[in-house]
Amino acid sequence: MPRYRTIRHTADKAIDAWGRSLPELFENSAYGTFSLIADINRLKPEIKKEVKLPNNKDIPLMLVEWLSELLYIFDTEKILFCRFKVNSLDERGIDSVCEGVKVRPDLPWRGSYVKAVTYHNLKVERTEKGYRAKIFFDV
Amino acid sequence: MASAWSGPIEKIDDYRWLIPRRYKPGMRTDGLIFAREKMLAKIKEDMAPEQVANVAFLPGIVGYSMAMPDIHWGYGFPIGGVAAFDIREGVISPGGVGYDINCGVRILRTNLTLEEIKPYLPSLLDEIFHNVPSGVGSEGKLRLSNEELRQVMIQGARWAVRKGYGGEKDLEHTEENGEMEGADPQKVSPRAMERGRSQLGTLGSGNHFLEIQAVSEIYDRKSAQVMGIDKEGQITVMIHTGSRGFGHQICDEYVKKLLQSAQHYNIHLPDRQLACAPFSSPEGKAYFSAMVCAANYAWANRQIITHWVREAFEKVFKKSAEELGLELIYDVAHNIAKVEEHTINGKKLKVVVHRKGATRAFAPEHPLIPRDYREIGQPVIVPGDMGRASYLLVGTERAMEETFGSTCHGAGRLMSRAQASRSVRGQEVKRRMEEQGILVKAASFATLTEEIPEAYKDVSEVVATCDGAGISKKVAKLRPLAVIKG
Repeated sequence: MPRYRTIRHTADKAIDAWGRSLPELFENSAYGTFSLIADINRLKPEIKKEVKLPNNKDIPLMLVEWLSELLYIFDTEKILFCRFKVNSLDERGIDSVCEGVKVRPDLPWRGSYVKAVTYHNLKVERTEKGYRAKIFFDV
Repeated sequence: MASAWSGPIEKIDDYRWLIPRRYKPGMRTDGLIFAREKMLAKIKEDMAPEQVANVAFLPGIVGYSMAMPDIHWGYGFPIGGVAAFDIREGVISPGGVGYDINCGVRILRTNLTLEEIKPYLPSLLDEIFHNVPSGVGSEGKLRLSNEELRQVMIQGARWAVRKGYGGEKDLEHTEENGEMEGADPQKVSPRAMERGRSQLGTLGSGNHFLEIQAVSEIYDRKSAQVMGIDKEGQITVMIHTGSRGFGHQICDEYVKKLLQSAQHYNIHLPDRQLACAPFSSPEGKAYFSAMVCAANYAWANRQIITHWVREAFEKVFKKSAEELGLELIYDVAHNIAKVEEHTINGKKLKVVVHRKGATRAFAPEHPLIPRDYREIGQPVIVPGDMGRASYLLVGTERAMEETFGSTCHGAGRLMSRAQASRSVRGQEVKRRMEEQGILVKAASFATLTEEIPEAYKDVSEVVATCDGAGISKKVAKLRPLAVIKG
């Protein structure tokens, strides 16, 4: 099972992400999101960051909020994330540890700055093997 | 994924196509797309027309749910979308403005000619590139305190002018004088302020650019002259950017809030990204006040960048900006919601006009356009892709009657960013552009491949459609000489 793939969209960018569990789906979605910005496979993490959010009783919205939080940290603390670990995702909310590197010009940038994670056609579905999410971005 | 749209579309005339409201139960009005027949096949290749139909679901919509000829698939509202809602019964939607609140474009004139600038172009481009921060993750040179940031939200470009970035004349030639009324910094979260703090005075990345151009054709000499464009070969400078992370964060937070409001007010949404609230509700008012803060931030941003561009010209030509005639022709917003008075069926009505990838195009004599342009109508600036052309137009009476005084905003994308990047390498783009005599400097080669000219519709087609439909009038065509991409 691939972690994610990009979907064709005229103006913006979109991904399909998969996971055997919801935490894995979240991790792979984040992996797909940051892969739009840079070739994060080539990065060795230097900084670790704990990211926690309260439960909002809606898994798709939770996914958008968590990804938006990671983009917010990217923009304000200048950390480009490359490794994602969701430790728990339950009634208490989401508890994750994300690792990355400090933003600098010589990173393997792909040129797209992801402005936001949108709610457009947002979907999280159960599949035979686990879960699948469809996410659209504003770039 | 990008499956073709197969809904009903009826020809009204050579420039107008109707999506009848019977298409989907729940549509409160018809959809109207401005396009020529040959553009229509492309438009129907993705789901943009569906988005025109979806906007027609929203309560209080007045007139058609419209799309300009540069229509393309967005999220929620289509790009190129124009929709107006009654301020008493209608809604406001952050998705109808977009994440880059007051993304917009301004154009400066100069006294310089093509021959005069040519030898200096490489050094000028380097100097501007050095002076104006651009690219993913780039930081601005300004560090604002909370109080200063609040002043930016309220005063917009006026704040910048007070700090020495440009002059009073710049403000007169900016939509809303660069200082839109109705800002309330209390409605902006500390998180948005944090995100916006270091980005004032940055160009950004993606489709944002700074371009040195030459006038290549003049269609309406009188209007051109009023704007300070006298001859072919005259040099202009175009700046395209918006409210950066500050606007993105405001939009993000309010889409989330207004999703709950839509539920609270029992508004049925065909797509979550159409999240909205009644304009008169506390939530609707809060979003509007926060949106104005971001709009003002964007005007301050373009004003500051303008000043740095002038400094770069001064350094390279060893003349003052005044001697070089570097004056602002006009500045327009193309992602914004505005409260405006329009005449509908003979009656004056206050509406909140959403322009998402659309430009205001007010007619001659309109009180909201600068005095020196009253006679010709509001200048409209339509940037094209980096290889072909951009246009200057003016607003018309027909736009007032039909489109709430709106027209197109650019070329409109044709190819997805991923498709574009696969088709060519960054170095190759730069070389091809240079063969055409266009210098390019980019913070990242990757952006260049996503922004290749072929990824866009032909802006000349888009502009000809607006001109043919009568919703704006062509004044001059500009061709790129040197481009900075973020």
